[in-house]
Amino acid sequence: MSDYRIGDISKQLGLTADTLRYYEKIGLLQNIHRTASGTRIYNDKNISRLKFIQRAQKMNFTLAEIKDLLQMREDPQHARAEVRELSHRKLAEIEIHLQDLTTLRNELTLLVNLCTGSENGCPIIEGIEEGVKKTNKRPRNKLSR
Amino acid sequence: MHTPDNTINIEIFSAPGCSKCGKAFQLVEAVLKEPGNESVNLRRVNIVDELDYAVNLGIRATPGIVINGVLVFTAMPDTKTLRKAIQSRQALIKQE
Repeated sequence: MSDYRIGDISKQLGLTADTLRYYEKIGLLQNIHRTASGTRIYNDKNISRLKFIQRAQKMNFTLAEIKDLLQMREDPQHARAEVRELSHRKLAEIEIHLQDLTTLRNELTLLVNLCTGSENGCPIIEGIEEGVKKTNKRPRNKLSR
Repeated sequence: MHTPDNTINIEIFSAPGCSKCGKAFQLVEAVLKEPGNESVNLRRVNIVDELDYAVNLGIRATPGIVINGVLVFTAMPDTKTLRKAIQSRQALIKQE
């Protein structure tokens, strides 16, 4: 297992030193080893934990939720009932997000293929833009004001 | 998936600027004029107008040919293959 200083982690994961210290303060990172002079030393397990935090943040999980999920990650068998419940809820959110992403990917694949196959620029995008313009030109009804 | 009166529905998915789409439409039209295909409906779908529908059916490029709600051809088929695809669905309907 390798040892890393705060600057290494910062560079590798794109997190500031302040963020790393804050994560430790609020308990997202625990038992960070220190040298005799007080320098923080991180290991691969800490990196794995930090990557988990980053992934969860990309899904807009709060730091409090992430802290609970980290407990589950550390010791799944002994996680509290509410943490297990939270994990189930977050899993359901991810599944929905994944479906949305898959649909978006399929849609963009189709659009890119249509653009590639066309000799005159990207007529389908132009067609969609025309449709949007037409929609925007429609008179507003009273409720939409 | 077919309509209650046992007709077959063919949808050709095309887009502006797709040169092969017109040819695909002509090909399907020609096959549908052949005897025995009187109850086959044909519809041309502009992907720009029905993008969600196209994506849900699995269309990723044009032309796409859907028969009774199933994407059967992801490129222009030859006449023989198209004829065979229609006939196999007609046979299935007769069996039911």
